[in-house]
Amino acid sequence: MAWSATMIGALLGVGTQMYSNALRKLPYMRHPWEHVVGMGLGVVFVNQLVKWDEKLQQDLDKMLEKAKAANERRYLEGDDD
Amino acid sequence: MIYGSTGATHFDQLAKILTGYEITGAQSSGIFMGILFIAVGFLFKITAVPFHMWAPDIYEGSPTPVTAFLSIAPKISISANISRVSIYGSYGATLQKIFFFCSIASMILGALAAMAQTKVKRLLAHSSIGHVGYIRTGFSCGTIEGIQSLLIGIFIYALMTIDAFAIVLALRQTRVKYIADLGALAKTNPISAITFSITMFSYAGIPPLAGFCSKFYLFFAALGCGAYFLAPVGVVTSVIGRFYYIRLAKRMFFDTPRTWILYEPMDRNKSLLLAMTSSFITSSFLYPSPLFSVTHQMALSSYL
Repeated sequence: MAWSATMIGALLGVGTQMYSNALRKLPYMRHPWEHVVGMGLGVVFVNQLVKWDEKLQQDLDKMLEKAKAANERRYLEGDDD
Repeated sequence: MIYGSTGATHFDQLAKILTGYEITGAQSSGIFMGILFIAVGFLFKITAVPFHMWAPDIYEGSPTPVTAFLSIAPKISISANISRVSIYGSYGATLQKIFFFCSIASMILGALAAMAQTKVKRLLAHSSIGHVGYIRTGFSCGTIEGIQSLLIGIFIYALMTIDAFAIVLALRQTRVKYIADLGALAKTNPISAITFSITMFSYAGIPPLAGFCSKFYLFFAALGCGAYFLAPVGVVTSVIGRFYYIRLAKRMFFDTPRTWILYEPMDRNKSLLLAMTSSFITSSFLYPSPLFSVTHQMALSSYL
């Protein structure tokens, strides 16, 4: 999963930089160091996104469990809270 | 007026007083008028019909960065504000009816009025009025899915609008004002024309772009809450709206330009911004999970 996220992030970053060059009507690989920076940023971004998504899923599951428990307490056990 | 009628300003107290006030004995014209005035104030700011009259002229007359800001920032802030006020304070039949009406009217007017526009910024203004209608659909539902779809819609709308206005800003330097002036764009700067077309197709809700995802979720939330009239109106107005979005692409790619405008190359900041937003619009369908999870969490936290 980490490898695929890294590869996708690198592709996304270099693709974004090439797209940016194309919009400015420059050759796609003008200033190639910017493509390296783009790859690095893309890798970091996608990896962090994947980690954040995993954490979000865990937090969401906890929230839903809490809500379910509160509803059961409220409606099945007759708690007035 | 609400404070005068209830004596409360805290959202929790207001929620206890105002929820279901129409069916209890606590009916008061002050409360009704207060809720109405608050709703009207919010709807004015987000250019919802019938309070949209100011938007096309202001959008056209303002400098493009200001127009971009006006298109995006009030929608986000007022949506958050009204969610907070209404969900905590006073979501009832009164507000829901007002928002249902405004959603339907905005969708219809946004679709029909934009067809007659000849200027790019006025067309984008009417398009934003239509999109406000779609986004209000999510809020009108009053359910967690509705709020989630509102948040997804706002986020995707913000990115699409940044994209659209970045291109308009880049083209304004060469005095492009009318839709007909775009005729030479595909021949002189095909990548910009493709980017603009992708943004317009996303606005139109064509899959698999991001705009389709937001409309899909909004209409399903409307169906889920029982708004069986709202969702078909949204679908029909989306289809009608595709006319003027695709007309822009047709102008750029297939029409003979009225005047040959030499487009200046854009600067790096705009090109990077465009590249990032276009990448999101085209590739978000591959991994939408973070957006869905975070908006679900935000919607749940406002109810729990």
